[in-house]
Amino acid sequence: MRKLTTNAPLVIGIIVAFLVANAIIIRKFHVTQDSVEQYAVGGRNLGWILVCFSYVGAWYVGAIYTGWVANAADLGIFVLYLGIYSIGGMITMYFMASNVWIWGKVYNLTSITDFIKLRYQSHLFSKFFSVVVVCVNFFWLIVEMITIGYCFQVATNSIIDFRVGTVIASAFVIAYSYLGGARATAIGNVVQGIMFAVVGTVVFFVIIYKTYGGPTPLFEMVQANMPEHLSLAGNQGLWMSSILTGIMGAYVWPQIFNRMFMSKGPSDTKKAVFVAPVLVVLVTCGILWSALGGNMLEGFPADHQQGLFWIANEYVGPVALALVAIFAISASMSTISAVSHSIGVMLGTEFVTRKSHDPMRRMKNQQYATLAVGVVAIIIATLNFPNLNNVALAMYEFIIQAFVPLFMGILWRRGNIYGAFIGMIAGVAIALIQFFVGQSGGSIVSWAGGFSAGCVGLLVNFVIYMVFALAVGKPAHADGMWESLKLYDEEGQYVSDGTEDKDAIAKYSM
Amino acid sequence: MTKKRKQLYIKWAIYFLAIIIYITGAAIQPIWDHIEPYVLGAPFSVFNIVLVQVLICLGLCLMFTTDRKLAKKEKEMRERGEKIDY
Repeated sequence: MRKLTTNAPLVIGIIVAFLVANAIIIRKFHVTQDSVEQYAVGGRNLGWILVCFSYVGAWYVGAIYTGWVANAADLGIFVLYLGIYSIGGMITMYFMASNVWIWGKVYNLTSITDFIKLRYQSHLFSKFFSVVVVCVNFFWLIVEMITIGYCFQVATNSIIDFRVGTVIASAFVIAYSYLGGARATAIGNVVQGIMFAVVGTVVFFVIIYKTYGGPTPLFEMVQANMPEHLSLAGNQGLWMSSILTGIMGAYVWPQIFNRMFMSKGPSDTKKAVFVAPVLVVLVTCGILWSALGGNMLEGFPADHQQGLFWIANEYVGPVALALVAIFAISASMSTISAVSHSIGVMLGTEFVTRKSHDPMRRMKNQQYATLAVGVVAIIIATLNFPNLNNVALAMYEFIIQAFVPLFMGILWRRGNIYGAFIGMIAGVAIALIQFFVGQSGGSIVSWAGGFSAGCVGLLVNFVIYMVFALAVGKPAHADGMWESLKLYDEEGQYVSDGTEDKDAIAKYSM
Repeated sequence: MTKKRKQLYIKWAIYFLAIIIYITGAAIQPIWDHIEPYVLGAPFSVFNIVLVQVLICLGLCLMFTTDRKLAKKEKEMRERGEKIDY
């Protein structure tokens, strides 16, 4: 691997200081975990700043600093779809937040699969749903651990080996997720989010000015040398499907969906719209613009994933390199904590705890599941499988199939188990067939004008859901669920006036 | 969800849908394939993408402000013992 820095001890010192600061802050705000609600959703008591940065932290992956940067250097402005769909995801959150929070409170839901079980009253479907989202999410967990190791290796001239970096940083994150649950992941997300989103934005615009002389000279350079990088020609279908699937898929990720249960009320979740979208615009522009002209810089690394690290060191210095490494490590850490915790909560509830009625036992099971998921992921990450990044990206095609039963189930009471189950199986099957056919270069959706198999599957999924909803009608328990929405207001205050149909509300639970 | 909130959400959903159709549909317009004019120091394609992001940000903030006003009104109605339509 190419050596980037002239001052490796300084870079290592800055990274270590950052990790120590993380540990001190998370320890300072640690709260003893004494219930499932506390461990899984932070006691539904987190303020809006925590929820906001939790969203940013869980959403922004470390791979943006490596894989997406390489794509920005190779494909140009196409990669800016990332910013559009990240903000678009906030729109879906907004429409779901009130109902999800109130149902979470009334029916004591702690994960996305709890909601699915309640909404469709089927253990089989909730298990199928969990398997799909956990499998997809697990790939990203591994990718993020690999990214951390890669950042350590690149930033320290391989003094800290890829495997050592992966194990140390990932083990640290898994430890605080295991001990501190949702609250620790949220506190960690704030520290890491402020670092990579706020400090990072300033640093990346400094990098753009130092490297290219500012955004306008950068664009002029790209237009003069590689005008195709400012065009979407040839990628139109992919552009559309990437944005649409990204927006729809945003809140299907369990670690993102969980955030809606953690706030003090729906309003606190929604308040995030004042900060999170602005950070999203600044972060994506800062990072991806920095890499847009990379290919035109003399000495730009052949491995484009190193591009941002090289630019930082070459044009600003070793401190900037250390900061870029910290931003990437922060983004990875926040994703690892959110993903391992949410998978642990799901597995602990769905597959381990079903028969246990002891709340402490259930919480312990969720903790052990978090630990087990983290340890297995670390082991796989250190094996360094090739093409894992591409597989993880392909996983979007699967996870968006969960959007239909989730989003429609939240907003429309007519949706039922038949449409949800059959539709999702059809969507996943189409994505799966394409995944295998695609390995040999083939395509089953070549007729779709550039739209991906995931998009086609999503359409089929949606049509099936609608047909069954209209033909079979609403399930018996839906009215009770919707009746319960009258019990709490936007601030999360209990506002029952006693006229609600309490029997209907209590008749069904998960 | 109250009826008024539902109506508010539908209005904003149409706004956001229009923006998303614009930015996804804009991708197939010929302007993307030509040398582009500069707007505020950025090529039109880049400016377009940032503009859409800003419009979504503004939309979300305005939607939240209206939503808060509605929640306040509902709270006052509850305090006065008036019936809220769901």
